[in-house]
Amino acid sequence: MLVLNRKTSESIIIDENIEIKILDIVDGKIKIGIEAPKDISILRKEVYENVKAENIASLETKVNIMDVINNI
Amino acid sequence: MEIQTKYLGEIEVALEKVLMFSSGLMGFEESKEFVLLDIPDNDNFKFLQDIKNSYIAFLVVNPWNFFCEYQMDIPDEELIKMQIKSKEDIAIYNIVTICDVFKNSTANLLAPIILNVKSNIGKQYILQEENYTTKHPLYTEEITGEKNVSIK
Repeated sequence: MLVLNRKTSESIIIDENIEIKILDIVDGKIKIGIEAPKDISILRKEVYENVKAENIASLETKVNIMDVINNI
Repeated sequence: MEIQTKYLGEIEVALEKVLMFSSGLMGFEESKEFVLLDIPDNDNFKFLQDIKNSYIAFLVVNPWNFFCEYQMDIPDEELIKMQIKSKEDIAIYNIVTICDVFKNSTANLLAPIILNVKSNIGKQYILQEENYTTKHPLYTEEITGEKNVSIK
């Protein structure tokens, strides 16, 4: 992992068209601004992890799905 | 072509029915080719079956059969990426997680499966709307109506 030190209002540029700027730091919370082309997907990691976990839970259900859905 | 399915045995599917998920599904990035399978005598659900790995099959629903107020805003850039040109090109499904008590079973409204049914392209897309989660009970009236309204 590349590690960089940045202060408030400093930025990094990724691939010449994505800018990530440190807007504010208060009590250990960092406010980040991201400027990127609109077709770039930006997600909070925990949201992605949540969806991934739900996909896995859906697939790994121990219930006999056919039995359940045919007996509604 | 013949494929092995998780729940419906070995079945024949036409090549033109194969849906391409170029990014896979979240947590299943290697699964890029699926088919949507009807379930005999059951109109409520379908299976989204990986054609290469029989173990990977997701139970999905047409969300509006259960959540009549479900709505989403898909950005133009996303539609362009999926080559979607008109409303008729789109089909939306949501993955269901079945629990031992069926009444506790849930649908993932946060991350619908978006299909371009004309060009057979699919993607699991995470909505920006903050009032949807990965676990909406299929059979709780207050969720389908009141909850979404009150949060907005």
